[in-house]
This record gives sequence, C-alpha cells and structure tokens, in this order.
Amino acid sequence: MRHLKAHRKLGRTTEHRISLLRNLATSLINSREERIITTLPKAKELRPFVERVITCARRAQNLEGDDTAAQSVHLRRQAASFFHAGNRQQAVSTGTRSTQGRAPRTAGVAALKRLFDELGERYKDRPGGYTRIIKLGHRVGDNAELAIIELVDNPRERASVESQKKRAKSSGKKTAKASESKAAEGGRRGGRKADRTSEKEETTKARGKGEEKVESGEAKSKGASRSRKTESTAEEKETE
Amino acid sequence: MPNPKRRHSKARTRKRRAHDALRAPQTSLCPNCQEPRMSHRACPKCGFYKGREVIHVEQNT
Repeated sequence: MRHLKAHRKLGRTTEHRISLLRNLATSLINSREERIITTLPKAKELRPFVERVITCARRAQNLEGDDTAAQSVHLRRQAASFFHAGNRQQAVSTGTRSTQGRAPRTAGVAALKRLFDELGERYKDRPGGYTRIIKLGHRVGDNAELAIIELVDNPRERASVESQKKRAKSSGKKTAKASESKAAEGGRRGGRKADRTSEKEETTKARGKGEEKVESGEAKSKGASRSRKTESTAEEKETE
Repeated sequence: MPNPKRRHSKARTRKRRAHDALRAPQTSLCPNCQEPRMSHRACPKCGFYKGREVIHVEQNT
C-alpha cells in the first residue's frame, strides 16, 4: 500500500530534508527575480511547502474580529517555522542594536518579513497556486532534470505585461485605453487575461501600421533584445 | 560454487539483447525557433515556453 508515502525523501534524513526545504523556501522568497533553478524533485517538494507558508501570509491580510493582533502574531510564528528564522540571533543582537538598528539579521528573517509585507498583499485574492514550475531539461553533469520554480505574478512578469500594454497603447490609442480600464475593473487574473487577448488584436493592427516607431520607443526600457522577443511571440500568436 | 554448464553462444546473447534497444526521446519543433525540443519543457535553444514566456537567459544568438 502506498499509504503515508506522500513525499520524497530526497536522500536525506528528516532534519536534513526540513533544513533543505527551509533553505529553498528562503532562497525563493528572497531571490531578486523570485525564482530559483533547482532539480525537478526538489521543486516539486518545495511547492506545497512554500505555498503553505504563503497562505499563512495571505490569511494575515484578511483577519477579522477583535483579536487580530494576536492572530497575526500567531500566523507569523507559524510561518517562521518554514524558514531558519529563529530568534536566537535577535537576542544576541539586542546588545549591539545601536549600530545596526532593526535590519534583518538572517536570510530567513528577511524572507519572513518580505513574505508578510509584500507577498501576503500580492496574493490576497489568490486561492492557492502561488508558484509555477517550468521544466528545463537535463543537467549536463548528472543528467538530473532541472526546473525553475517561481512565484507567479512577480514584478518581472508584471513588467513584461506592462510593456506589452504600453506598446499596444502607442499603436492604437482607443483600444488600449479600453483594455486598460477593463484591467482596472476586473481582478488581477481576469484583467490580465482579458488584456492579453486584446493585446493580440492590437499587435495585429500595429503590424499593418507603422510598427517601426513602436519598436524604437520600446527599446529604451529594457533593451532591444527583450522587445524583439516579445514581438516574435506576438507574431506566433498571429499565425496560430 | 555454481558454474555455467555450457558456453553461452553469441546468438543467445544477441537474441536476449534484441529487446534492449533504447528509443530517442520524443521531440517536437519549438514554435519560436523551430529547433527540436522536448514537450512540456522550456526550449533549450531560445528559452521560450508557452509562447509568451521567456524563461532562460539567452546565451547568444
């Protein structure tokens, strides 16, 4: 029977495994691009682990009742067990607080802070599914399958959506405005989806008109290679 | 110690191995760069996945 065999052991003892997952979770949340590249099994194990802690942060956003302060502290403490965010370091640093102030002492503490300050807010209305795993193929040295695990709706992703919106705006002003207001109305997810479809139409239109102009304006923001890439995607969609 | 009684002929070995062949992995063409890539994975050449997403840092053109 496969009862009670839910998780991979990853070739480690229990303590080692939990420590690994905490480290991976910390890396994922602290990383600038909000994504890490790791092996596929580790990514798959990490997914439920971080999503659980993100849910903690999300719940802290929608607290009700008269004991919200106590509840939020409790959630924070529960979440702390998903990182190496013990308070031992804090006790040590209180002696020399005058120099450093209240800067985050460890990566785990920083992750916890970021989680409750930023990510809880971001995922307030998302019922789970905060991460995405993208398979990358096999590593050269040991043929292990690699994967990206990333937080969805991250700044990079939003920037690319934004830049596409901008492109659409500069080509067909009327339609772009309409799509933008639509995005503002609907929730984050619905809005984005609607946006994408309207973008498709707009880029098709832009193709007919002066498209060179759009390209030059776009090149300022992130470099020409990026915009060219997005353009080729648009082309693809058209052909579909 | 148990030992083989008879010599193992080449034919016997080869007959056994007739079913051991490995297949090449299934690939399809990347819709972005037309290179072969495995399905459900980001394209190793251009880093695209599901059209829109640029996954990888590109090495060079």
